[in-house]
Amino acid sequence: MSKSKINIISPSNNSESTEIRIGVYLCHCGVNIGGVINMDEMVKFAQKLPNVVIARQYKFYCSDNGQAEIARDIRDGLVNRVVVAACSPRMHESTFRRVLVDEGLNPFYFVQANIREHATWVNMNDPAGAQRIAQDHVRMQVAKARELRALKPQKVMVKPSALIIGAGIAGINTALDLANQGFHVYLVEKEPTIGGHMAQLDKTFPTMDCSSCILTPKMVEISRNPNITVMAYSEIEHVDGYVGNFQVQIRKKAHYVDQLKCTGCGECAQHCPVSVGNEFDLGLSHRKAIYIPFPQAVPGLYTIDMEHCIKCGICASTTVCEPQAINFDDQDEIDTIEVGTIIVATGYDPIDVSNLGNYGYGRFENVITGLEMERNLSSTGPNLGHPVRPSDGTSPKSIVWIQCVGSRDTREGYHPYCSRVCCMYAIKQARQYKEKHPEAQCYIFYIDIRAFGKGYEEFYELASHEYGIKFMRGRLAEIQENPDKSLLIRAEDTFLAQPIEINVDMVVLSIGLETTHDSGKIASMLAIQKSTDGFFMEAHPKLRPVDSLTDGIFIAGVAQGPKDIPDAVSQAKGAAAGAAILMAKGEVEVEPYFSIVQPALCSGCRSCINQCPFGAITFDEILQIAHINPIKCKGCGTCASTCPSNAILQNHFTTKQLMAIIDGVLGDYQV
Amino acid sequence: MEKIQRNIIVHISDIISEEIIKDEAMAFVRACFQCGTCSGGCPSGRRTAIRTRQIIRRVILGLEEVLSSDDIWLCSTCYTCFERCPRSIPVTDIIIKLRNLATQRGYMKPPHKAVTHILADTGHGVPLGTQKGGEPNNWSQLRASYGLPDIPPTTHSHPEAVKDIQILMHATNFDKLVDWKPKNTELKPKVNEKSEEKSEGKNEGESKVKRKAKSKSKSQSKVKEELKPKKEVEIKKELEIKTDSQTKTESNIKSESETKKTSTNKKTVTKKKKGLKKKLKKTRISNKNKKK
Repeated sequence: MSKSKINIISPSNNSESTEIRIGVYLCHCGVNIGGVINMDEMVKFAQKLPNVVIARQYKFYCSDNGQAEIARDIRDGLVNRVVVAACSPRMHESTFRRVLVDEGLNPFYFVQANIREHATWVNMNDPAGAQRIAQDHVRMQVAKARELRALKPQKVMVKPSALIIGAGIAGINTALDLANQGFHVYLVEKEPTIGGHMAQLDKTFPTMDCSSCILTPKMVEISRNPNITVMAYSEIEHVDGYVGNFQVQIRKKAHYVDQLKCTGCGECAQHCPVSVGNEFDLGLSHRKAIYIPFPQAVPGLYTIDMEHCIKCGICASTTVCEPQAINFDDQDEIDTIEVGTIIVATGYDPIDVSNLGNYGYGRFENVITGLEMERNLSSTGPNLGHPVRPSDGTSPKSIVWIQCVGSRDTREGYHPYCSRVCCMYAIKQARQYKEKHPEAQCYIFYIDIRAFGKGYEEFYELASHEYGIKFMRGRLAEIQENPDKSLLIRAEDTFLAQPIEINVDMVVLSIGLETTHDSGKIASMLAIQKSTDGFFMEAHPKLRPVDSLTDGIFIAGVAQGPKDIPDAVSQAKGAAAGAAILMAKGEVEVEPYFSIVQPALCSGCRSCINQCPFGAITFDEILQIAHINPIKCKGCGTCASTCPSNAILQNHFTTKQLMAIIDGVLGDYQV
Repeated sequence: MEKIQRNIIVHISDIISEEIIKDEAMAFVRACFQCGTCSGGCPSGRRTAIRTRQIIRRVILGLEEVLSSDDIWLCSTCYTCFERCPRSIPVTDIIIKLRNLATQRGYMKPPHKAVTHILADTGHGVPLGTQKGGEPNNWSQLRASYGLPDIPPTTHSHPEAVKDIQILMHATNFDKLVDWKPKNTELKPKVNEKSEEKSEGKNEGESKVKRKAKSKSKSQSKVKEELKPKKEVEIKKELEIKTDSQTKTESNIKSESETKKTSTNKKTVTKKKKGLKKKLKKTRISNKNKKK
């Protein structure tokens, strides 16, 4: 983006010399405002304010008729600045700006006074107080309107390529959707294979589809799509740029196996003498130091785990590796790619089990996690689909699933949120076990059963009705190990208000989902926000659930918050659509709220550079002043308030405008 | 002073629900999610201690106290709960089934037993009687006014048929279940004497089903072991005034003979326990397999 393309209208060279004529439009918002304060009084009040030529009131200014009234006043030359006192600008600012644009007026000659949220809603029981506050708001915005300057929205080009971080089911779906629309996709995955957590699951609720059967064809589709560059075993190193023009550095970790020569024959792994726990099976099975995580991995090429490799060189001999793909001197590579959009689909980590000592995990042999149970139930898992008690290898005759482990707990070290998938996966696992062992007793100790999705409640009903799984409403209170390694469960049956003490063979902890351990690093690299739960924050929880607050960066899947496969896929497709809109249009308009450094005033102290949360400020070594990238700048104003020389001006929130607001509200008060 | 009850659930089983789910419609009982519509709308529950939801919960958990408590007898079988159940559970039918099970397992209320005694003696649950002071009831006049014979064509007109009823009761072991013995030994058929002697020598006519149930319940909870049998008078008193189902336990509503048996036959019962347990298990597994 060259500087010349950006049309900066500096507030100082405002050429508007015509008289300022402000129109104030007071909206009743039904009874939200009009039912609390006296609108006739408000009109009289507004009319007396300086530069106000007209003040009107109407039931709903956002309606067609309301908008037409404002448009008529502009057309008639009555007003050239518009103040609407109504709801929040987040609700209708764009609506009214459009009216100004349609009438040939600069949209930034509009300001909105929020007298609903700020005055009437919060002071419903104090109409007189609400009236005073509403008057203050109108006075402030009228004062600002006098200082408004015309601004022009910026346009930037968008490159038709996307980076997708994370190749789980969400990343895979986003990648396919974008690639099939003709955009080039870089699919980056930190593990040696794509597929994510879904590859570890045995069956999926509520349809009991085999997880691999529905996932692996998608994985193959990815590897065959010419528009997709799969970068497995790679991590994001650095991100620069802004919407439409991101420069991303990607570290391709050394495989120590030439990925072009390797045929995936597996001869090397058969000869490798080093055996370590397989992460894919959560350490329940073994792999060699040279390995692929699981047979259906994509790409199905081998990697040497240098942490455990003893460099014996057996795999490198020509009798073992005929194509001679082994390369012990392999090194990490840094690739730089340019993309127009970024989709974050980094998924989740299962809740850290090291914190679960009080559930007996790690202390009692027969306490396992839900994900371990999943691998146990998988026909490709360590026990070939027959879950056994870790202590003696027998099939448990009774299993207890404990719900909300690590979730719905406001104490330190746990998560206050609901992980959304645990109820359903516990029911699914219990059903799977019952199918294999109908005589076994399966208990699910829960606080609430959240079977919210399509077909979920029916799945739950069937589990109790047909399978006889016992749903025990009560959270686990205590767990003890008996000498025979069976477990004593203490809880309450809250339905009967009676404590329970039962002995069971095995306990499965339905652990929840938490944000990935490296999500903080990714958030700061991409300058996107995280919500209090640690997951990436969406721009609006309801209306912009796949957008981040940074333009051009989208969030898909569990990276945004716990969700099941159907929801993750829906969101992935939404994120793909969001990114495709930008790339298909080829250019994007951004709000001109950026800050400007006034070269004459900047002392080059650089204090603003570190303060900028969006990495928008760089230092111009030649001119020895700070420079703000107007596209990356989000107009937060941090730099303007930091600058010791008052050299930074923020469009639409200039010091002059803000002082006018303060003078407006303090107008009546004498110090 | 009453002993403190621990009232802890230590054993959960399918021992009751497996009987219920034999019926396809009643099998919905396991789908109960304890919403409380049944208890909330129960007309009987407004006046008595019946808590329908808890009855169902005890069925699901296999808690034998559901059979021994008063709750199942407080239902008026109005079917309101069944009408309203969002999981289509035939609650009322289940309660009736539970009453059958309770009777089979020896948890019958003395008043109900008394009614069966009247039935056995007269052929009627509610026989034609006399007014206070011995004056004849006006039923005969009423009957006559409708042109009916004074005495209905039942056992009242055919007293010899009462014997048939008694034979029927004996053949089905119902007489033992309700502790009924004929006043007139002549009425007793010959088969009767034989079995009577046999059972008296062993378990005072306790039926097999009953023993099974008892041994199971014995092994079930520590709670019950702690409870000592109460005196007859106490039990009777309690039965009259008891309204709170929560405090009810198995032993204080068992009939006198039942409590005696518990103490005297403790040894024999524990001996049989193991064998019976195995048997029970076997039948359960085979039941499951059949279903499969």
